[in-house]
Amino acid sequence: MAKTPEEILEEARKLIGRETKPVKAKYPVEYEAIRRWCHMADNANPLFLTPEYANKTKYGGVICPPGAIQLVARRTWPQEVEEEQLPAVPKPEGMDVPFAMGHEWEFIKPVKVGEQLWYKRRIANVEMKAMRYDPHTFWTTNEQIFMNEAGEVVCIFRSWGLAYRRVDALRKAGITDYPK
Amino acid sequence: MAKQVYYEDVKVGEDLPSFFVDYDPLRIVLQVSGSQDYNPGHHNVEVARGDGRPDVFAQNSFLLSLCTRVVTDWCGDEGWLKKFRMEMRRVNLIGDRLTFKGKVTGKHIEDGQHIVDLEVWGENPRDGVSVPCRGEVLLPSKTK
Repeated sequence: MAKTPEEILEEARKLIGRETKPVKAKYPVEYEAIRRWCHMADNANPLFLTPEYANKTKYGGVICPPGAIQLVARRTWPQEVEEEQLPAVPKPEGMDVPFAMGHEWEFIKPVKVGEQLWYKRRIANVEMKAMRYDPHTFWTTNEQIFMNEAGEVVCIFRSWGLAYRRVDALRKAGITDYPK
Repeated sequence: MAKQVYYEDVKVGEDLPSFFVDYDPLRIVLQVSGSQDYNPGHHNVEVARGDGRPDVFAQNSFLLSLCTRVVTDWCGDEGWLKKFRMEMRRVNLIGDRLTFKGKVTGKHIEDGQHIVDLEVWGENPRDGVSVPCRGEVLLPSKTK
């Protein structure tokens, strides 16, 4: 007999706290990645773009703008190293439409161009909520913890999102009064 | 760069400078370049609609870069954005003029840090506020 959403949730919640081994970013923090991040937002702040200016600030050099750490710390194409993934969070059948809902950042230490970063991922929470499109949407919160070469945490990124079922999957599950 | 703002000069309720961007095809190209997110929902209308969205929609890092720009444009080189929370409440679509704003909602001193609380948000023409955010900024003090 098919498991109920509540039973699947109980299984999923056993994954809370699971984390990956630390992964080294493909490249040290680079000027050009930061420049492209700024360009998409028309952000001309010289603290993020101009070494001659940033060198004279308390940071002593160009620093990574808030939020861009995900961009500069990732292992990007081509994937030469098999990166450990977090285990997939089990969900009810057909629950395959994801939607990112929010982020939270703690910016702990500045990150400068040239620094080598590491990161690891963690499953922080799984819960179920009724929403207008699915009575059993699964919400997952993951964390990405960024560290510098000295092993100091420089940033924590927390993201949460939901997954829901399309109409055909709801009907297959016997749910006929959703979406509202 | 922006004149340095100090903790003592900040007034609760004051507005931060705002700006807008047009979410047009060129901006989408810049979005991919800047975020390196190749999720097709953010540039392919068929995929976006297949997932239930009305059209190509703005990507999260792109929105984050704009919302945090409201803060860093204002807080000066000595300011430090300590915490930031962003929620994607409404979809922002190709063709939208997106406006980004902020205001000071509180200030306090804790463990020697001069902290200013901010509300920041992005708006689109259909929904008004589409990306509500909250932030905490550390500002320099004139007394130090």
